[in-house]
Amino acid sequence: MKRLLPIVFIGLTWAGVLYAHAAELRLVLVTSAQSSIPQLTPDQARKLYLGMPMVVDGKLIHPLRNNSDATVQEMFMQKIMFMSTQAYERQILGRVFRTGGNRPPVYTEMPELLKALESDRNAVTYLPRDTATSTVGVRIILEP
Amino acid sequence: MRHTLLIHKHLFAAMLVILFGTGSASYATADEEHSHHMQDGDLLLFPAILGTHLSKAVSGQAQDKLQPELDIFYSIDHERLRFLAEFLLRDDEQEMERLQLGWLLHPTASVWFGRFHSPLGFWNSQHHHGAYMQTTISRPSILAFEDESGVLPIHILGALAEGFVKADVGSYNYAFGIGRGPMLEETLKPVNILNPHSDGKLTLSGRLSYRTQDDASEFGAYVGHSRIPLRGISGLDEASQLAVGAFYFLETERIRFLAELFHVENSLEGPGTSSRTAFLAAYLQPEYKISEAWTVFGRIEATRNNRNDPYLNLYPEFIASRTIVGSRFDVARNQALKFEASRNERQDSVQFNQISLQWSMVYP
Repeated sequence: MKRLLPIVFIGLTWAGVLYAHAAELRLVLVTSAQSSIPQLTPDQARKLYLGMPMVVDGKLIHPLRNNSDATVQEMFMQKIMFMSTQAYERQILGRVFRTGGNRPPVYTEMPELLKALESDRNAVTYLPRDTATSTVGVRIILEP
Repeated sequence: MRHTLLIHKHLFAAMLVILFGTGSASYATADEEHSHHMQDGDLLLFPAILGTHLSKAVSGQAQDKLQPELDIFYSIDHERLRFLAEFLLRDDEQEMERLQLGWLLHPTASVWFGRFHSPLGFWNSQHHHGAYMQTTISRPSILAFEDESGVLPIHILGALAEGFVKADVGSYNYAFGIGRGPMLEETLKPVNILNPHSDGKLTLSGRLSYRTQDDASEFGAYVGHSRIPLRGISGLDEASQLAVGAFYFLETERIRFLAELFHVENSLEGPGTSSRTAFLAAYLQPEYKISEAWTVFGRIEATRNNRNDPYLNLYPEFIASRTIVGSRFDVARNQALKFEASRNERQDSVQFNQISLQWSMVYP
């Protein structure tokens, strides 16, 4: 029993750190600094990631998924999509299966995601607010 | 497996290049080169295994059946050019179910050419062949596929325009299709894109609907007209069919509800003979999500004025009425186990019970 106590303590501490991290994390929607995409509303962001076409200056906006961090993914589902990851995956799958098109591309590495954002002025993605404000070349277009 | 998928993707990509070359280059401007956005497209595999047991032997149907299938789907958008393909592989059927080449006229409007699902009915636009994507195992019998005792044109080879117009609190959705439809030879034979000279004749259909802004509900109406050649039927050459109907769809966090109604008029024509009759068909399908992974559902299907309908009498195996209860369990990642129990009555008055069990998934 005495041996278990330190393990339980460490486990609870780690869970507390993760919880605090998730609680402090604030997601923002960003685009390239060169982009002409205006500020979006939370509803527009949600529809964009559900596959509804959105146009700015005659060009389609391309949503990119940021799967570089599990907490960011979870926050995105909770704060922007208001659904579980499974429900979201099924919705976008259903839309593509019905009407064609592509699902939002998934990036699991932050450098690749930022590179894609920089190279496509019509792309948007979501980042932790701290990352967004400290990254050169990105502009915040929504703070949910 | 991963290598096989990559090969498939590259094969499809090569097909696109061969077929369309640089067709989209004229759309891209110098300014857009910096914002070029190209994806590999979505290649999806929908394997499924369906087991069915009928309470008694009935003509035209196996009492016990185990049917594996693989539905292969690929879709890609490149600038304004769109491509979609769906191929179904079964032991008794290998068919290009959808093959569409499209052009994005506007971000909310597309025009497609090829073989597509008719806009007739809500179910027919929402669900295709990938078993995993629909809650139930079976389709409503009024919207059964042509070669599965269906009585309406489900596939069209021609042109399809679809899209939506935003309104203040929702959107108006539309779809119009025109082209070649099926023919009847013992059963309806769907139009074959690999044999465009098949005997199908003109069919056209359209659907208009209103969807609320929160996507929670949609209602609308549809109409379709078809000329269906009749082969091997003494004294009859053609059926001229007019179908009109309406639907209502509701989706909340736990509840889904779908209802559709069809009024179908058929004129059977032959040398010196003509008859005109009509029947009504409807179904209601409620679903309740008990948990994220467990859904229960039911469906009631009914047909009226069908007993003496000469057109429906050409389809003795058509399910005229059915009551279904069932359940779906989403297991593991992207896999589902479904169960259905049903009481059925066919057009030829044969009654039987049926139990179905299906495993399905989508990969990746």
